[in-house]
Amino acid sequence: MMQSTSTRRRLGAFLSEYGTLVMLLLLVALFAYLNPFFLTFENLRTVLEQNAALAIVAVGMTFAIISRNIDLAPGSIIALVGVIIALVYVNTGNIAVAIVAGIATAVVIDLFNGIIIAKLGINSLIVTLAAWIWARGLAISLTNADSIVVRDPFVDMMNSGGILGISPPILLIALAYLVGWFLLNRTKLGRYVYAIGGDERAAIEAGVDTAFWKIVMFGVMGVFTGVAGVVNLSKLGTAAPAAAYGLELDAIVAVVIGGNPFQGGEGNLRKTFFGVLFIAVLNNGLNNLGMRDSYFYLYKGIVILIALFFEVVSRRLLRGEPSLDMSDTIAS
Amino acid sequence: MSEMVRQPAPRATTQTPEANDTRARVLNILSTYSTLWVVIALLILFGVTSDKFLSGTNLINIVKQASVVGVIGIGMTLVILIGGIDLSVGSVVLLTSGTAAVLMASYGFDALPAIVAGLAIGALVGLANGVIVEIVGISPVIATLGMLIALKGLGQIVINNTWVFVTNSFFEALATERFLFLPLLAWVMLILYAIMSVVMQRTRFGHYIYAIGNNSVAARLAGLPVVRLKIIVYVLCGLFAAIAGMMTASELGIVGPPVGSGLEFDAIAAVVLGGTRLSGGIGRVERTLLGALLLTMVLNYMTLRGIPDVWQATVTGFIVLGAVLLDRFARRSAEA
Repeated sequence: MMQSTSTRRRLGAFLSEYGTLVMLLLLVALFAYLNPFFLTFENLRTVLEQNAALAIVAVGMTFAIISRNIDLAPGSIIALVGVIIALVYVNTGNIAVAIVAGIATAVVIDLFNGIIIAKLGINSLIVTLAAWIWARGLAISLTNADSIVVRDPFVDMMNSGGILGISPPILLIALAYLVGWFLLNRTKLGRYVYAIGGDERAAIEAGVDTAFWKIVMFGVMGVFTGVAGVVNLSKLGTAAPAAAYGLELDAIVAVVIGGNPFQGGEGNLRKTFFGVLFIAVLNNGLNNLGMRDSYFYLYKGIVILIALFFEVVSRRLLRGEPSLDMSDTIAS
Repeated sequence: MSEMVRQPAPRATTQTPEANDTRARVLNILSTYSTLWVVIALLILFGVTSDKFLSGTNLINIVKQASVVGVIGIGMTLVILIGGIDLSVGSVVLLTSGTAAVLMASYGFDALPAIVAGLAIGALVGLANGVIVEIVGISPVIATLGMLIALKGLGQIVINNTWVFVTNSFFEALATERFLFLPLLAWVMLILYAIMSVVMQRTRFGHYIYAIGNNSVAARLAGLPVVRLKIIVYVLCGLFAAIAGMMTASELGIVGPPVGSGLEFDAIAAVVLGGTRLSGGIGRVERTLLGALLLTMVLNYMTLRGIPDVWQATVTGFIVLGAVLLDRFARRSAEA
């Protein structure tokens, strides 16, 4: 009895650490079997480049989820950042100024959201939902629902070889995860993000100005979202008001599938990165099979639900609980 | 000197309770019915600034336009009251309206069996949501998000990625026929609200839902079948979304791939505008109707004033934000 319990726990521990990696490998194997071109170096690099904005947003989303918050706005803000960059660029001809203005827009919006959430104690789901609507709305109204083309050497540079053949989007992903890791593990901000997610009241009683640190956290998330906006714009060199629609949902799913509990208080960026790879491989693999959008959504939704299921069951095994909680249903 | 300083103090304390009481009562009324006041204020404002707005045809139009979001909002209110959320409702609208349309157009189904099939699918999706959230234990935001994506795909597969006409006479009548000025669609919504507000306030089921929302653990200790009740709430939410799906098929007369997209967020906005707390336990079904009407009124007014459609989302977003802030400030002053 004892032995079987500890075996289960060990299995749970293994699965909750490496479950996503196992699922990722299975998914890669499946797509490699279905499509001989999938496992080429060229394609795997494309997988990362195509999902660079998602990977970067997921860093900020990890902060949000560890602190028991959520951010629905990144997809809309990315569209708005693109529009702002394009408009400033068209009017000034200076790409550097345009990029700074774009990232500043994202930071200001996230600080605004953060202040409302932290100072007024309003649920982040509803505040960022409002921004999900209005930021997308602003992107549409400012462009009159049209796309704006940005023709600048910067766009070519972002799509070129970069340093040592590593393209700029991939370098930016690496930078985002390094900075994110540093902030989470080596700074006060990171400590308080975990503390707020674990037990906010205890953090307040310990003298932490949680409202202030939440606002700082949202500001940092704004930087990640802003950079993702730049990456997303330079992918096609076009600012489209419909850009990055639903990207926030992919980011949330990536963080959670990676094994970061949605209830907050714990988690890390390595898990998030595996989750991002999982979603990126899923998006790319399904797309390469040349299926229609409808089947793409169906398979994607089903795979996500299966992955979530395994994630939850492995965590239950780790804690030594029954894999499904039926007690209440049976008792009643 | 010190006497003079001290003296007013006791007087102040004898006076303030009364003054505070009145102030608190006023603020309480304001915060309890804040959505209603906003609706009334906007009715007056819009009526004064647009001569068409307060016309009978336009007001009837608003109620009709609000009916789909309104009906989804009923189920969404229940789910939010138990501390959950359901993001799959927009996809359920697509899947159920698509299924009913295809059954009637390609398989010669009559209206009744097509509707029964649509509603059954909605209830099944709700059951799946409930089981995934309450028994498997996946957080409702991401579980129903997965369902949103999968069912959007399934719905588009059912209608074969094209537009399917709804030519059934019953569905047409539902959108065009009127009873006491109002289109039948609006009556469906109003009757559902009437039923559910009675259920929530007067039946044991309603009390259980509030009990679970206030304190799930206490409700379980008190012997309530918490998991089973929560699953029933998700089933109801799927069912109401399916009813909204039938209403969409009737209103549009055609079902296509983009149908239902984004409706989940409109419904959540209506619930929040109605003052229901996202943390659960506090809120009223009938206030969601006010929230849905409020959203529709503003969009309708913008159209009347010739404000370009491209501004709709911006304004809607700020209304949601404004309503949340207003509710928060009203509650803070009432508590103070």
